[in-house]
Amino acid sequence: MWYKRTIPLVIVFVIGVLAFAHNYVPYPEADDFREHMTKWFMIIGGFGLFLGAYSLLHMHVSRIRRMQPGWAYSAFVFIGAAGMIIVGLWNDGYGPLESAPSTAKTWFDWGFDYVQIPCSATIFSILAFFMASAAFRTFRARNVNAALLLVAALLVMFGRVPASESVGAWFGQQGFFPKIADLIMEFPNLAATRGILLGMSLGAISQSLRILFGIERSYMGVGD
Amino acid sequence: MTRGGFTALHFLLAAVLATVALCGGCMRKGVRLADLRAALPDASTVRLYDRPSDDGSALILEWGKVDDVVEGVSYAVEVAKSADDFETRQFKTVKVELTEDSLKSADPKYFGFSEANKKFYVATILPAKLFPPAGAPELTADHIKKLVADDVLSKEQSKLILAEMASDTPDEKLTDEEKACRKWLRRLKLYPRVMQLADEGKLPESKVQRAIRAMTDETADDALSGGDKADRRWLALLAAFIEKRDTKQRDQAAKAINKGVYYVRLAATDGRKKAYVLQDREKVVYSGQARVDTFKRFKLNNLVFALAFSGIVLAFIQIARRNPNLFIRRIAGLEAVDEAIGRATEMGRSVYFVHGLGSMGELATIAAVNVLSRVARRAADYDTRITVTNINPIVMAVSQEVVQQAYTEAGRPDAYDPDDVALSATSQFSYAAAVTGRMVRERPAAIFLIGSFMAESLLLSETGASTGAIQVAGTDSEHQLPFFITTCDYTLIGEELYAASAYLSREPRMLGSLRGQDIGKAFMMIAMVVGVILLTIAVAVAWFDADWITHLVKVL
Repeated sequence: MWYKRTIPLVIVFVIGVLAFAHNYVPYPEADDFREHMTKWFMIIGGFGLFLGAYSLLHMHVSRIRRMQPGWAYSAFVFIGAAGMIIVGLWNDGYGPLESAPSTAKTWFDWGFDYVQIPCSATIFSILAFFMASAAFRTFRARNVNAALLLVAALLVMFGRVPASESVGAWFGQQGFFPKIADLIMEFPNLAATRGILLGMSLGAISQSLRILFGIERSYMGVGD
Repeated sequence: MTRGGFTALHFLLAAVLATVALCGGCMRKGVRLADLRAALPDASTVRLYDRPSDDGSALILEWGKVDDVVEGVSYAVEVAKSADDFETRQFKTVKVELTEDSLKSADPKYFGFSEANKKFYVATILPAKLFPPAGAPELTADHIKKLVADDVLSKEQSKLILAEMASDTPDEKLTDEEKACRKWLRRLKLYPRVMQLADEGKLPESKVQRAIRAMTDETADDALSGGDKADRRWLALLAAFIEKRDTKQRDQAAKAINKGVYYVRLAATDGRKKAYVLQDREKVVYSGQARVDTFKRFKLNNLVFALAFSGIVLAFIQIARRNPNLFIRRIAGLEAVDEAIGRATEMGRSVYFVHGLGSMGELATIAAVNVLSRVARRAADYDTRITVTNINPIVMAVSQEVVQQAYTEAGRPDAYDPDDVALSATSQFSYAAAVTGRMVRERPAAIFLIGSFMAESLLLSETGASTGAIQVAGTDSEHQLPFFITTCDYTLIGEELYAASAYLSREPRMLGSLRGQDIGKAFMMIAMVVGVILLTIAVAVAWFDADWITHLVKVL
């Protein structure tokens, strides 16, 4: 199993050390090396796409064959994929529109612009409702911490809407609430975020060392 | 108006004009030569040297700051390829204004944070920018005439192209016809470069003819058919190849230019007159050469910290080998992994492992795959089905390998189904739709959301919460953490994500690295507290003008 364990570990160590050194040497060759690595990554990614397509189609074929719950959705995957492939290949995406004006969209563009993008936008827009339901669950003052969170969230939300300036103006302090919101975001919030970021950086270094020295090998699927 | 009045008005006007002319003359006269000389630094303070910690692309001219320079004076740094070029005026000038941005202190990346840097001006000399390498050959009227003579272009076409070459109308103001003509011209601009390739013997005659045919065809892209369309596509590929070749040649030429020796003179100027730095009544010419440095000195602190922290982590790994019973703080989210998988086993439902959007090049994804291997092993031990959803084919392939290995190690290789570790979609919201749809239909008992997430994080976790699954999330995307904390039962925050695999493995060497990580964190916390105290003292000193605090700090 040396080819499955030792060779990958040597490659990981050598490339890892070179990538680390790249940060500290100004040689133009170091940038060339990085560019080469990026290209390799893209080439491998290209091959990976075939694997992904095979996996996706195989999974949905199995679901249809076994008539699993929701198999009709799997059938829809094939309808959608076949439709896009056919219109994409047929007459450069123009389909039967042989004499299309220069500004006309191809059928392929049409499918992407008027089906794929609106569907994605729809899923994205659901986020607003999910946010509301998640906020409702979270902002219940069950204990002191939750109460603090509730007050801070209300102040930030209120400080971010134009009405806060009008309310502040009643008390002669037009910018009071926006300023409070900014203070919460710039100091306690930023401090906590930076704390998390610092911790993450240390964790990332520690994990990188474990990987470089072959202590952590589970990502290779070869066991400990 | 009388004749006398008219004359008086003329006289008045003439007087005003004469005054304005005199004042204008005075203004044009600018700064006195004596003032320019006074603005010159002492010759001993002027130095020309290679810019430190760089890739050999710059020289630095440095000189001492002169106080009380009169307004309107700036510095001119004249750069030539040889000392004789100054006599023939073949030099380039770098202008340096007397602002704080020109001080050495404005660029601590290369010069550090020394207070003394505020007393020096610097000029950055970039040889490859001052003396740029020769560009690729341009399309000229002669090329068009040759194409007409070869009967490749008609006279009408040549007129159109020549008119377009002379036009400077911006693209957005062109009519559709003019836009098409400009596109055609862009294709034709390849002609001299194609001929260059042909002269070098790098393009056979048949390909040259094909390129010329495709370049000179004025038909719009969408009106082409058959072979012409194929030719146009091939020309686009050829253009990309030529562009890449030009860039490479330009870069190589720039490197050669940067390696040369350059000669530099420094002068104070008001825009018209110049006073040069002199020595023994001669203009001083400095010479220097840029070189590639071996180390980015400005990253020294970064390197020292990285090495020190690595040393601590490696030391604790060694300690853990000898003493496997190191104390590691409890991480609630990871303690819940067994609970979540056990719950799925009892309920007879599956475990979901949802990868984020990251690729295999991101550390968070590698951490997620590491966690997956531990979770998959536990699920395999309990004979519980694990479903892994992926957006990236490479991550999917790695995950398949990891899960298969986990099943093999658990002694159940036959229980592994590759369809359980499949690609769900390759775009963000298609992925969210596919995964949330499966969650609702299959109602898993436990969901792990681990990796790098973006806007889909709340869609996934809120849907998971609505199915009643126990959820454990972990991400390095700090903006998504609030969503996970809100909707998941346990969230791995920050470094806990990277610690997860080591924590779950319970392997002494891995736990040792976690201990080292915690020590590094403690060091950072102490450094921050000390920094806050020192900064507060500095503010207090400035505020109260309290010298006693300064003395106290010095004593301490």
